[in-house]
Amino acid sequence: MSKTLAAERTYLKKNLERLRRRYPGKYLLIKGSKVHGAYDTREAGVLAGVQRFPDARAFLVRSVDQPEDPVVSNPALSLGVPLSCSS
Amino acid sequence: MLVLTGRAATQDGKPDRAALQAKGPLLQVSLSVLDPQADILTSRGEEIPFVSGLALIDSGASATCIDDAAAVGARLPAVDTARMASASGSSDVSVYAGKITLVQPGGSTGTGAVINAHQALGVNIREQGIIALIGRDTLSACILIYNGVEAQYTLAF
Repeated sequence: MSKTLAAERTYLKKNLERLRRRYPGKYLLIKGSKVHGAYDTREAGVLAGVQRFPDARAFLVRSVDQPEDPVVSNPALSLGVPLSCSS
Repeated sequence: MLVLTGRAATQDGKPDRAALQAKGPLLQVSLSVLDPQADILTSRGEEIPFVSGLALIDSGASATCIDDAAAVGARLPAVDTARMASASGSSDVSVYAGKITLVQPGGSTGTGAVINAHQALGVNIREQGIIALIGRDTLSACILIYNGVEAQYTLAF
């Protein structure tokens, strides 16, 4: 697991079932081992997070319905096209 | 509607197709924190940190990406993590929240279209001379015209 947001991700994973029952369908704002808010959208959670923790380097906003890290791909980065072309 | 237009040209002003093919459609951008966070910093008398550089319009990227070092320089908070899949496996990346201001060519920093990126992927692209990739999540709300013949591209919001 990446060190980034490790405490928050671990907290979410360990308490997932309880949090799902308490905040069904919500995006949780988690800092440390505490839920600081539950929101209908990621955007709302992020905006609440930057207002509550304006000096923080990190806080977690994640859906209780998607607790695992999302997998994304980016062909330009993985294949080096077109970034590695000479100019 | 705000329209941003870029063009690759030779020194004598002719379309430089080779340059556009090699570098891709680039726009000058500025990275900074989201407005609610900026408002708090301003109210405390602090300056809003920002990082300026080039962004590549990348229709091959599903999500908008921000260079990790640039994100740290602009004090963007990490709000999640993700797994970035590649041919050699996958790796953990940070997900940042921040504001990407696309600068109108000839305009000044701080003007132009604004992308409120609530989940921009952190990547290491500064060595490529760019600090952001404008992905399909952003392009889904835009009109992108790529005119290879005239070495010109237009992004309209």
